[in-house]
Amino acid sequence: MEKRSEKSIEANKLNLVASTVLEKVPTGVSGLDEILHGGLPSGRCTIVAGGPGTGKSILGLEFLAFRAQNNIPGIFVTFEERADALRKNAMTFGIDLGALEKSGGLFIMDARPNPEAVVSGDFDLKGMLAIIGGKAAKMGARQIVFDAIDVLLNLYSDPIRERNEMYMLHNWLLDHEFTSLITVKNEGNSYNQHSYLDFMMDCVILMNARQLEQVTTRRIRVVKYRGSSYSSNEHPFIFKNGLRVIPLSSVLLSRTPTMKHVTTGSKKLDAMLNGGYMKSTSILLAGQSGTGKTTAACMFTKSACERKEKVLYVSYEESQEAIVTNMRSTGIDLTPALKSGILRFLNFMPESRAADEHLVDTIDAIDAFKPAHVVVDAISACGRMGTTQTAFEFVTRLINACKERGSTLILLNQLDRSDESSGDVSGIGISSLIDTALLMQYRRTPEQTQRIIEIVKARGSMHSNKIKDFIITEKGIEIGGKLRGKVKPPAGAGRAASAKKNVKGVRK
Amino acid sequence: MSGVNKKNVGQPCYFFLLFVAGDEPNSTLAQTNLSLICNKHLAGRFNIEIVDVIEDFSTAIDYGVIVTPTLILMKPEPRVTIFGNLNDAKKVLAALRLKEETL
Repeated sequence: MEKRSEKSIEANKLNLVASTVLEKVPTGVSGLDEILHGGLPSGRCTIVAGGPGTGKSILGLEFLAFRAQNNIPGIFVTFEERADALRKNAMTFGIDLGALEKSGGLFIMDARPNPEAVVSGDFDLKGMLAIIGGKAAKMGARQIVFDAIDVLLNLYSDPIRERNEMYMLHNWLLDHEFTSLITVKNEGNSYNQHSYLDFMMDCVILMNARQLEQVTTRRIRVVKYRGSSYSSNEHPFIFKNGLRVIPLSSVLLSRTPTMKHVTTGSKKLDAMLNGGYMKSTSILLAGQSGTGKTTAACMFTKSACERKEKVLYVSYEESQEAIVTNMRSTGIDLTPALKSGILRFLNFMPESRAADEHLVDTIDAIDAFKPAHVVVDAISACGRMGTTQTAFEFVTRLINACKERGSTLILLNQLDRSDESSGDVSGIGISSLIDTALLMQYRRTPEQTQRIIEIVKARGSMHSNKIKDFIITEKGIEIGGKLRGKVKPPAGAGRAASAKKNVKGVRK
Repeated sequence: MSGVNKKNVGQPCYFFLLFVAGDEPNSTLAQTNLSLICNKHLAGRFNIEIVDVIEDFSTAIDYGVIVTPTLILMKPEPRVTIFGNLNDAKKVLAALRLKEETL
């Protein structure tokens, strides 16, 4: 008996450690597991509180569907919605509940209380638990979702009875080690009508939808998670093929720069930047309307495409056709790149939907196309997705997404006078997230208006501190070029004449 | 439990389903209360079927039962559902459409 080897003692210690670490069950909901640092607490209860239409039921259904697809059956107990309606709703998100039910991976229990039922005397939930327990044992279910438990709890007119029954339900779930998710409505300003639930449960998730101007934004937040770390921030989420949470990951901070340069498309600008833009970083081209930001971005785009590096051009201000046509006047022909499919445009009206939907669509496009470089023309339009804060979050997340994927991100920003006087070249306060910033301005002399360019910053790279003149000719941007007759006037007028000339050049 | 009696052939027979959870207090109470009410007001023309959800959960699922005790009046139509231990006899009688004077 004394001969307990050191090995077995060590093993016991290890077991002890293992058993004290909280096991987690992934939900399969895109982004949610990231903010939950792995998933829901295994064998424990999670409560999801939110207003109407915030996506609580979908969260529950997605969780069960994901688990069922991994051959771990579950039960969905619905107190409010009809099973048919749930099946239809899930189908719109691409989840076929009917198929999962047939395969035995899912059981939807219609537990809507009969609205005409009369209450006479006390009753309890033991019967319901016996029913669920019986069904769970039969199908081998490991997780249970109770959807809209408030409907059940409202059957009790006595808050103390209600609370006791809920304690009983909670204990029963823990005893049976079901990983459970309970959804409850919260209305108006009241955090949660059944607020004791938040104290009782091991994990509390809050979902809400709010209006900024005319745009709806949805947010999800983990309020509490016993025994685990989690992201306590509010995170945006949208509905696109189900629920998608868009966490701001920490990859941005851990990524080391590549230190490789890519040409800007202009040798002189490359020289100013000691070799060009840094690959896989974020670059800001800021300037007033007509200073040549789009031209600079298109020069870069064209040269990248000629090297067979894919470029995604996200335009919020002009159509693809307008950009391609306008650029011909500066000698930049994007048509071959478009035809070969190495250049792709993404055209959106900023106000057409919420910033979060823009973000997901843009990231989806990046993931589908896998561009080496992404151009956003222009982030000043992103304010129209909601507020400056919305634009800030959108651009921050986009910078993050591009860094994660190693894509160079060229952000254009149209400045107005107030931005220039405040010194914020990004307009929305993201300057500190930008690696390289170029400022393009007008300088008015008694004789003419000149364009000037300066490098405001270039992280991790030597760069020129000189302010240089530049002109836009039919050969694009020429830095330090002597002012000649064919200077592009400031506001884009007179382009047609030079465009005509250029068509010839294209045809050879 | 059955109280079918030849005297009551002309009058409708009441058929009840009572869902209980084992010998849990409210379930036991409901059984007692229901037989008291039936014996007093429906003597000879009632039929009670007890379903213990702990033994038979699938019948409970079929009838959409979520709390126990739950009483369902199957016949005469329309169906009536009553939650609770049935300790409020007046309320139960009213729900079963049984008027005091006809009793």
